Amino acid sequence: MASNPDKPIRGRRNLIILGAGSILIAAITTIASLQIYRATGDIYLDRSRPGYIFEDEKHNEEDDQKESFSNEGEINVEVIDEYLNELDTVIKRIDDSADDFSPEPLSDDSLNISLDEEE
Amino acid sequence: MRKSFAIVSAVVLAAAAVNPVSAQTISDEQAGLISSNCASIKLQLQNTERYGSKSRQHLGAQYESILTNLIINLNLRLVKNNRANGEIAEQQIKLSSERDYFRNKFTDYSRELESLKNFDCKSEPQAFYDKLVVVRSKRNEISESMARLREIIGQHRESVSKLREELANGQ
Repeated sequence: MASNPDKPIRGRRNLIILGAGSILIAAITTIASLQIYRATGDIYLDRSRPGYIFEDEKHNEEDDQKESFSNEGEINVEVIDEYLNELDTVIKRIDDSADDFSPEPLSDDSLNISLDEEE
Repeated sequence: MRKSFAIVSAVVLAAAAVNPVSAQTISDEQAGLISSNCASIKLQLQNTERYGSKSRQHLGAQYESILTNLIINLNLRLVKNNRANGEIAEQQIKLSSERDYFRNKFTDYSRELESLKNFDCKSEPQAFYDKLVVVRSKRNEISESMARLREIIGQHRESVSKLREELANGQ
């Protein structure tokens, strides 16, 4: 198939269009994913954000242990005892964090904006 | 006159319903404290945000573990053994629904807290305090949700203990 000699090859222009198009698509998808990241609330759980890692956070390996209870097998007293043991382990962890969202850290006293303290 | 009073009252009531957190006017002294301690307040808010994020992950993992590794599997096992238990099945639904609520409330709280963190407390202490009151209320909603989740889990434990007794008595 012979090329048309009258039609000039616009390589440079096509290259610019390709480059600009790629950048545009990348920008659109990045903005869309950031919007989803924010809208779903994942941003507030992402501790890989700069400044989010605590020095004392390496001790939480225990929390990563997952409880397990098979959905197969018979039901008897021993099985239920095992279940209750597993359940109690998680309940203890929850109870240890019961005050994690107490009002204290945002109180006037904690923020040093209490007039009583000043007086 | 009476009609316009009724309209104004309706608007005020509607506004109160939309924003249940009532605004609190702060004194000049307190406004001064907010302005002068602005930097340390921001630092405290940042730390609260970080600890909150850590706690949310930790608690979320525990609720998820109870639901997916324990309750759902127990229900399946009960059904397979022809011992379906309506109470435990209902607790599964309640826990799942409250866990979703907890997640959503945490997202709402985090949004408000982030907005508060970025707010200019130096030049607008009253507006900052108003926002702080909203954040406190959102934080309280999380705490209430946690209490409800704990109550459901407690009820579940009781139901399973009851089941254990029935099994021990050969029922």
